[in-house]
Amino acid sequence: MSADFLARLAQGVLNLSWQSLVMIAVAGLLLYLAIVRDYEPLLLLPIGAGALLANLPLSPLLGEQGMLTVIYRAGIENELFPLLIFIGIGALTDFGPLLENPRMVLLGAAGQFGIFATLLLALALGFTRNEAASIGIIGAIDGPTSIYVSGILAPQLLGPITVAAYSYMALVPVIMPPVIRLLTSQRERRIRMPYSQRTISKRTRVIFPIAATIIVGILVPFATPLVGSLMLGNLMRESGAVERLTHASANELANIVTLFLGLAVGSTMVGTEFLRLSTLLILLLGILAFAIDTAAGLLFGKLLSALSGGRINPIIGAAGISAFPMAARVVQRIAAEEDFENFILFHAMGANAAGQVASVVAGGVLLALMGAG
Amino acid sequence: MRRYQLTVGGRSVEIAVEELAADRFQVALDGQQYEVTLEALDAAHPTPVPLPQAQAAPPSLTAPPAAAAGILTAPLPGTVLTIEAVPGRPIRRGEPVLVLEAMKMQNIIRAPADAVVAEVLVAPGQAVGYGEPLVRFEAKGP
Repeated sequence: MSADFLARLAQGVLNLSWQSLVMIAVAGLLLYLAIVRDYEPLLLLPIGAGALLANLPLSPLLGEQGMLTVIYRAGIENELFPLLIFIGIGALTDFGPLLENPRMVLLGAAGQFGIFATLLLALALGFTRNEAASIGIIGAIDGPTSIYVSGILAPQLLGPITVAAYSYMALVPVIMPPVIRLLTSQRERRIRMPYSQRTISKRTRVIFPIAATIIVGILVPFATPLVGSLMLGNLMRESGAVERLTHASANELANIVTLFLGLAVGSTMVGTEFLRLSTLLILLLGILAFAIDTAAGLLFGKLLSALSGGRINPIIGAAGISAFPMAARVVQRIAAEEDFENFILFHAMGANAAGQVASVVAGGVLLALMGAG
Repeated sequence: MRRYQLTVGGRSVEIAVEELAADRFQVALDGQQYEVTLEALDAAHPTPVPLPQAQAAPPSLTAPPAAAAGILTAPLPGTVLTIEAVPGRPIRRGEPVLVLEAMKMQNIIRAPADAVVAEVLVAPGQAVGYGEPLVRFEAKGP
């Protein structure tokens, strides 16, 4: 038996690099987080699987016609998948609490401050402008927007940015409470906000997605794809005219695209690209962006609370991020821990729904600022 | 928050009343905060009082842990998921009464005071609106 023949049989073992071994371990960690810890399993499991498949030696899945390459080209390179996901999110989101309390828009806007603060910090650390903008968007804790923005501005950082965005989304219940407790007093957290009865007419609910699309589309053209998809899903939901399409968008379409999206993002995590200092910095900056976003929302909540004569519980400001509806639930849980008769869930949901829209707009603003074309 | 002048037996006090639920109020009197439960005694089946503008008087002023009889109303609209309270059993302030699912979040509704569960007015799976009665309590027996 010739040595050549043996080498051909053993080429898998021979091509095993230390990077691929480390990445297989990283993939194992993602799978562990998804399966055992229940951290955003719908995304982290496919991402982990994609990373595992991409890092096996000579992975044919990454070849010219390999499945992962085909999926990546079909939906990530051209930004299709995050937009399809947004149609599903729109079909699932109830903007009612926001329409009942339109001033919550302010909290959603304030919650985007961390994006821009982190952008500046990333610039100072030596990332390019486009990379810094993509890292900042992690702070919105909005997976699809992060994928969309970084896919256009810095596709080489897509893997770490997506993993950061979705991991921190799963960590909302861990990261937000200490920031909230640090920045608010117990007296503030105990401010009661009784449920405010206002029924929103179906007409308003139907007009909202159309009006939001037109207004945002004119003001921030770069946000049109994101807000247009989000509001398309919401229009289908609220109109009640196309229940089959609403159901399909929120379930079958969202599920299938989630699987493809996760696999394709995972496949970008190839050892030689992923195992760099920049990945670690992105993960650190991402969590910082999240903390600053939460803090900015809280501080703005405190301002609104002061202006309202203490009728607004400032912690609902922390819900002004995109992670819908986890952020609002965490806020309600903290309020209930302090005072079990305080139910601010609907107010927090209003801020949270506003954060959902605001992060999409912030993504568009970033793209416009960076002069993406 | 509304302010009222309350005159009882010639003595005048000023109170500030904030509506927490249809039958529960936060009342500020001389800088002290009280939680007030308002129950209509003449109604055969006490229901939460609809709120005309000047319905603030005369509440029985009690500090939070003492309140007893009354109706617990839904603090937010949702669907009753499970019921923990058992009619006839005593319940302590802070113990779970039922779980109300709102916006897909499970909210534990807890007893506002030490009392005895008199009647559960809702069933699991039932959708309730804001302020709808959930459970009726009776004053704790001896």
